[in-house]
Formats: sequence, C-alpha cells, structure tokens
Amino acid sequence: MSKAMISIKNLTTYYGEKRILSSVNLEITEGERMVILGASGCGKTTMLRHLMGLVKPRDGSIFVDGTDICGLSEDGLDQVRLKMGVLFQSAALFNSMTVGDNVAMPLREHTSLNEKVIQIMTRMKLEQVGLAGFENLRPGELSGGMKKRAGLARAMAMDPRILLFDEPSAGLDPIVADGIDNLILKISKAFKTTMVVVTHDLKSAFKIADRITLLYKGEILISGSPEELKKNPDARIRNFLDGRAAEEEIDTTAYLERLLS
Amino acid sequence: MKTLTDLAGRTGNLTFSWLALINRFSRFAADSFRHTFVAPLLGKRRPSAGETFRQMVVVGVDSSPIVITIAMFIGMILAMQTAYQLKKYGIVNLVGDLVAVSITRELGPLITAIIIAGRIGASYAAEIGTMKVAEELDALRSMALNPVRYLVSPRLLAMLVMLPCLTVFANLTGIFGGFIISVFNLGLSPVLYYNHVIEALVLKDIATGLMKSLSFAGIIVLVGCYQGFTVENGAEGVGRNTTNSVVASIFLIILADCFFTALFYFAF
Ligand SMILES: Nc1ncnc2c1ncn2[C@@H]1O[C@H](COP(=O)(O)OP(=O)(O)OP(=O)(O)O)[C@@H](O)[C@H]1O
Ligand SMILES: [Mg+2]
Repeated sequence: MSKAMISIKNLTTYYGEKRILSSVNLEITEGERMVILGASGCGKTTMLRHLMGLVKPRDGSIFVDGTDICGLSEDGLDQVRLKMGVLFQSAALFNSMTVGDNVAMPLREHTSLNEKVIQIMTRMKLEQVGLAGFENLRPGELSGGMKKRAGLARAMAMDPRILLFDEPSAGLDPIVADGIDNLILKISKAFKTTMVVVTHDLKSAFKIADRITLLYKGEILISGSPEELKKNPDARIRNFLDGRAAEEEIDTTAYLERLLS
Repeated sequence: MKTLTDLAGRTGNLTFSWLALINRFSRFAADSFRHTFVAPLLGKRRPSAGETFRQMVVVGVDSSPIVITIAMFIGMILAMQTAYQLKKYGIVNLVGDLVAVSITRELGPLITAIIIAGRIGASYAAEIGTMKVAEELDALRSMALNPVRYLVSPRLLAMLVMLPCLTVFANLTGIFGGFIISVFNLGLSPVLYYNHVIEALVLKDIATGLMKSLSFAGIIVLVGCYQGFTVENGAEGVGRNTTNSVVASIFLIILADCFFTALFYFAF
C-alpha cells in the first residue's frame, strides 16, 4: 500500500465570521488522482490555498509528504512548495513576461542550470502540453485553453511530485476541456504525480478521478471511487450528480422577515 | 445623548482603524527592509540584479525628461518671484543665492519626489494590484518566491539610487532656469549669477536635500507597493488604491519634509 502524500485533518477555516470549511478530513495517497467536486462557492479554491500554505487554517492540520505545514514559517513553507506545482483557476501567468519566460522562471529562480539548458527544458515542457513554438507570445495573446496549458507547463517546470489544479476545464468549450483532461491523464501516467483536481465539471471528474471527494457547503459528503459515488443513494449526492438544484423548503415567515428587516 | 455616544464610538472606531493601518504598514515596511538589506547579509537570497537594473531604467532614465523640464520652469518661476521682492530693496543681484538655496534645500527634492510619486508610485500600486487580482501574487508564493523580495526589493533599491540622482538633475536645471531669467530678463551678467550661486551654496544645503530625497524614495516605493498588495474587490479596487497611493505618498512626503527641515533647522 502506498503512503499518504497529503493528509488533511480536521481542517476548519473562516473568512471573518463566515465558516468556509468545517472539519474536513481527507487522505490523498502517493500517485493518486483525487478529484474534489463541488458547487461554485463551496470552498474548493479555499481548500487548495490551504494545501499551498497561502493561508493558515483556524483549526486542524495539513501534512504534506509527512510535514505539518500549518506550523511552518514562510521559509519552511517554501521548501514544501518546491514539491508542488499549481495550475490556478485563472492560470495566473505573469502578464509582463512571455510564455517561455513564465515556464522558465521557476528554473531560473531555483536552479543554477545554465540558460541554454533552461531554454531546452522550457521547450520540452511546452511540447508536453502541446504549445511548442508559442514561447515568444505574451499570455494576453493566448486563448483560455492555451493559457491553462501554459500554466500547466509552468506548474510542471520543476518536476513536482504533487500537482494541484483549480478548475482546469472551467470556462472552456467541451472539446478543449476534454483535451485538458487527456493531458492530465497523460501526465499522471508518465510521471506518477500525485494530483489534486478541483472542479465542478462532472464529466471531467469521472473521467480523471481515481477517487472523488464531494464537497458541499464546506463539508465532505462522501469520498470514494467513481463507482461508489454512482451507487450511493444519498439524496444530496444524487442531486449533485444528476445536476439538479437541491429543493429547498421555503419558510414563508422567514422569507418575509428577510424582506422586511 | 445618543448622538454624543455615537460620536464617541465613531471617533474610537476611526482611531482604531488608523492605528491598525499604521501597524500593518510599518510591518510591511520592516519586512521590505529586511528582505532588501538584512537577508542578503545573512546569506539568504538577494534581490535580482537584473530586475533592479530594469527598474532603475524605468525610474531614472524614463523619468528624467519630465523632471528636468518641470525643474527648469520651477527655477524660472522662483527667479521671477524673488526678483519681484528683491527689486523693492535694490538687491536683485541676490536672485542667484535665493534660487540656488531654495532649490537645493527644498524645491528640487520635493518637486522630484512629487512627480515620481505620481508617475512611478502610482504605477507600482496598479501593477502589483493587477497581479493580485489575477492571482499572480499567489502564483509567486506557490512557486516558493517571496513577493516582497521579488517585487518590492528591486524597486526599493532602484528608487533609493535613482531619486537622489534625479534630484541632482532637478537642482542643476532649476538653477539653470533661474539663470535664464536673471540673464535675459533681469540683465545680470552670467558670471555674476554663477558666482552668487557658488558663494551661496554650502555642502550642507546639497547634503540635506539629498538626505530628504532618500526618505522620499522609501515613502514612494513602500506606499505604492503596499497599496498594490492590499487591493481588494478586483479592478475597482486597483483604481481606488492607485489613487490612494498618490494621495498618501504626497501627504507622507510633505510630512517627512517638514520633519527633516525642522531637524536641520533646529538641530544643526
Ligand atoms: N478573500 C475572501 N474574503 C471573504 N470571503 C471569501 C474570500 N474568498 C472567498 N470567500 C468566500 O469563501 C467561499 C468559498 O470560496 P472559494 O473561492 O473557495 O469557492 P470555490 O469553491 O472555489 O468556488 P468557484 O467554483 O466559484 O471557484 C465563497 O462563499 C466566498 O464568498
Ligand atoms: Mg474556485
């Protein structure tokens, strides 16, 4: 049995007074493709930000490759972050640099490789995501799908053992989205990278996942293989998987009070 | 009664939020100085030389035409205004002294700083704010790159070098502006103006002016970058913080100017 690469214990977070995640427990084993599925605004990005150590949780702990990152200083966190690559929801390419420089940047900053080698590695990464020959373009000149690919090339620049994806296929047409899903599968097969993919796209979730975790209003409803999810009779899970909005009971008095307050 | 307690409460809240702001800003400033000057001494990573050089070009080379032009007009204005007063006493030949001293001690550093606060400080706020909105700052941190070291340090170093340089240019062209008025309008001989300028200026005038400009440099970079880092609410926030950065830097520049002028006036 392979070991846990990421384990989240009792993670609880707030933005101000508003609770975003309540007591989330999750283990992600090495080499696994974990998909975190949930509706818009349920706290998926927040959870990823915690995995990167960008924010500290109110309560709970997060172990990445055996180290508890919640107690680490910024310098200590940087050591852990070097093991991770992140594809952000908006790709987050540096707009002031060319695509090639974006991909080369982690290598230039963190390694002492010479420029020639860095150039070759950059082209290799761009080749892997199907963007060969685009290194001299600016991020502003790329389409949405190409930005995601370039962001992925940058995330992979340091050959990380963990890749985090924030909505890799959001805002893309189904064919381009499917291309990104295939790319994720290809990278997973080739490098055995541990992957955490956050998405609200059911089709791509079922396509890439080894295991799926369903997040609902900051809590985990279920965590299991795609088959287990499909078989589960829980109404909230069924609603989400069938793409139905949960039918909320309408409390007329409360509704009137809200309007009049 | 209710309005009175209300007023007290509001004053309290306002004071508290100002104190909180000052606290956050000082910590940001301390962090910036630590990453720029202390960390490299402790053998940690130093700010990138290439990026520092690029920022020096943006601040120094690209801003010098506007600084030089404005300083020359300020020198001309100053010469005309002082001549107007000095004529009453028949001592117009002292125009050179007055222009030289007020430019080097006060107006050269101040005008340069205000131009740069508007031109460069604002662009720092907009640039970093836009990066924050586009998750680029998070991306930096996720790549184990400290945004303060990566973005603030090169700008701080560049500004600390280039603002005093620009101030020297402003001083020279300001005095030259006075020269134009003195020679072509007041009919003083060029040699007389030159001699008066050299006689009047002592090293202390120039040194105190440059000291001021160092502190202005720190204010412009720290305020601009801080406003960038604290952008919230997307593009609208970028606009608001950019404006804030100009207002806040000019306010702090004048405050620092007053402090240093008083210090040099009373203490030395
Ligand atoms: N900086 C912030 N300040 C206050 N509240 C925030 C902040 N960022 C996020 N939130 C709140 O936290 C909740 C979860 O946000 P999060 O970005 O994690 O959602 P998400 O699951 O990624 O949604 P999406 O699919 O739309 O990206 C939202 O209700 C949002 O209003
Ligand atoms: Mg999100």
